Amino acid sequence: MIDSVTLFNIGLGFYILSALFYVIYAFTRKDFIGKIASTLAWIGVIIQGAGFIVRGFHKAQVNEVTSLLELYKYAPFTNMYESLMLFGWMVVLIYLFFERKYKNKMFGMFVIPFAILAESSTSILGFSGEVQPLIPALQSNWLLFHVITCFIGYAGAAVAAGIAFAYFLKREDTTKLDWFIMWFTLAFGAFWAFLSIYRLSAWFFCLILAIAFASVVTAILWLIKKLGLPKYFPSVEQLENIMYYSIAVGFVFLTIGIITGAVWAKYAWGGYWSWDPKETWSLITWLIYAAYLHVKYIKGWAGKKLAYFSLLGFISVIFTYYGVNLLLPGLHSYA
Amino acid sequence: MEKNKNIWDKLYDFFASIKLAVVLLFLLAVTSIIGTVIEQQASPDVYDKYGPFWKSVILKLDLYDVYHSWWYILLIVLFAINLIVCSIKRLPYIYKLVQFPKKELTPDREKSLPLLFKITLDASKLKEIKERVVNLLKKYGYKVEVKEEGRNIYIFADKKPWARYGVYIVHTGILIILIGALISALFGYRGYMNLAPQTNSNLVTLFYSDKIIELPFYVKCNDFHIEFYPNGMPKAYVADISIIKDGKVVAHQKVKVNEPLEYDGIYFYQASYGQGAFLFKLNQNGKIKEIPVALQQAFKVLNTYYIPLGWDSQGRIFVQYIVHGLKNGFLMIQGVPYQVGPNTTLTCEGIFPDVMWTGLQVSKDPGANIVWLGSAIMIIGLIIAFFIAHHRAWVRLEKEKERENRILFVIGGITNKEKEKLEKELSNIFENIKKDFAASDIGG
Repeated sequence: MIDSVTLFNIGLGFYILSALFYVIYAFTRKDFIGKIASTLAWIGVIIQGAGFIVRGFHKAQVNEVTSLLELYKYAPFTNMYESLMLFGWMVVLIYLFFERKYKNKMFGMFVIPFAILAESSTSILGFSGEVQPLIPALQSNWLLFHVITCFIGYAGAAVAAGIAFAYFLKREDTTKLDWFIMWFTLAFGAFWAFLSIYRLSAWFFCLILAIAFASVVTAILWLIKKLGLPKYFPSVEQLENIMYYSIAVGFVFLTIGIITGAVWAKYAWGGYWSWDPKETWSLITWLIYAAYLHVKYIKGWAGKKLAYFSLLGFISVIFTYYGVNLLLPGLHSYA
Repeated sequence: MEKNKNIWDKLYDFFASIKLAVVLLFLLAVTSIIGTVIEQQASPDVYDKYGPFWKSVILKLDLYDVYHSWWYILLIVLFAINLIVCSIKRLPYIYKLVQFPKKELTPDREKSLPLLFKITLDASKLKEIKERVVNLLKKYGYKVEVKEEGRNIYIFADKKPWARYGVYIVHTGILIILIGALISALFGYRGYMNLAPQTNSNLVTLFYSDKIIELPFYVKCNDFHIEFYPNGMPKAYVADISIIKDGKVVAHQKVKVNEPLEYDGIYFYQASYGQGAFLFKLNQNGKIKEIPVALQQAFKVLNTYYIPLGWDSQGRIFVQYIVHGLKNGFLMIQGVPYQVGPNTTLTCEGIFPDVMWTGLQVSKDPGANIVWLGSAIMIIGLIIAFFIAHHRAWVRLEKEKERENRILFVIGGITNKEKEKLEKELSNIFENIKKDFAASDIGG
């Protein structure tokens, strides 16, 4: 049987190629290059999808599952390696969905890198791709549904954050503060991703690395704006709409994810809510996005404030995922 | 007007504002962080590491138990009031909009529509035009009403007007969840009982308190064991549990992680395990009763609860006892009888360090089903609020005064989302009509 890790890595390779073509597309505006970029991303999604299926079967084997009906309980989303793969996969899938809906390939270069970062942070150094049997706490009917819904939620947040970047590039009145916020979001995300690789002892090194990374990416974004490329982006209103919809999708799934988590907790931990750090941080994320959804209706608060909330929500997602796992272990110590 | 507002109006406006909602959501988010950073529900000396100043801040502001502190609960109450008042303020308006729309597209109302198309048509085909418009609207899923009035024909078309209620369904769901949580907090409990195989008890020690609950039935552990994978990782913790009421077994189940036993609204979970058990002997007026218990499991003699918390190699057992809610402790020596009441002695006959026990978590949560109900309502509401759009369209066919053979065709509409889709629908209808019925000499 072909190894699932190989499939994930091949898929990741396709994402990297696809991101490259999205960048080339952004600079050349040639339709066929855009088509190549989308096709590569789709191929990556299909290969990684196959990877999940292979891994699911492998997992069932390791767990000594005999009944086919029990297979769904052993969905391969139960450690950091697997969940980051799922996250990357979801980000690309949701992105491709929006690309089809809005018929604009300009932000592939903003969104696909989130998936690449998430997925490569596992394989650079960090997490073992080895298939392990399930500990008793994870043997549940709710596993598949809970993890999938949460990660669609996270991925929606990531796509919205990508759109927020495009939004700041597109707007004419981007200030130094906006640039700083973009830089900070990048540095924050990169810091936790690096930290999860190098572990807490090397936090200062990770900080420097994250700052360097964020500065380089911000410089590239600045260059993109200087070169006038944002004129090919959808309009400011359209970007606001896309951001709103990807947050709406993310919010609905995050809600379902939190609720399925509560149902599961009721059966595993003895209560639907225990103020475990993971639970609490997912609630914090939920509250921030709930605030975002209401900001729209306050006169004079729309526009940039929406993008700020979108990035703040994404920062909270990053902490819910990475930060809680690394710093605040609780009941939820697997992923 | 503004100056005449009394305090109630002001309060109403304050609580009806969306700005307050955003502020409260934000405050709840920020304050929730505290509880994930500072250790919660720990004993006071744990906070010594923050220094005397911060320790006093932590203790004074209840930062050691943020989620049950008065100010956090106040925030939630304000949030609930905000939610209710906001909804009360807007619901009548939405209800009117959904239930009693203005069905005629009069010339003054045209101006308020974001989408509007107009053209002059050939009047001889009025009936055909009307039928065509009605059919097209029906094809797009609208419910259509036609009304003729003087020289005008008004067509009113509505699609999924109930979608406007989505937000309020979400808010209702959240309120129901809060009610459920309140009921859980007031009438529920969470505790534990440790049972060695072949022992039973009806006493549950609550977490984070010295309270002990007496169940109206006995819980018996028949067996406890751990199953392993070939690589040595644990595969399952299995406790074979019976519920015994009035001497009869009323429930029996293998309790595993994720597979709790439920009896009479009380759930028993496989939560932990450990080693160590004791055999106590109670002598009451010469009547001897043996009491086998696992480490940390309570048992009751007269009006006092005893909990063996540990033992040492010299056969000394540290026993905690609780009388009328007051906690105390003493050292018991194996084999030595202790006077625990008139003509009553308690002796620890044996310590069994190797006996494995199951740690069952016991919880009663009468609010859980209400929370699930609220959750289901909230999810349905969210799906309606975000993904189902209300479309509403109006058409006016107006016979022109000057030219008898001409009619004016006006179509317009509104939607709460999917503006592009509505635009497509209306422009398709418009183009369709224009193609076949446009007055040839005038055009668009």
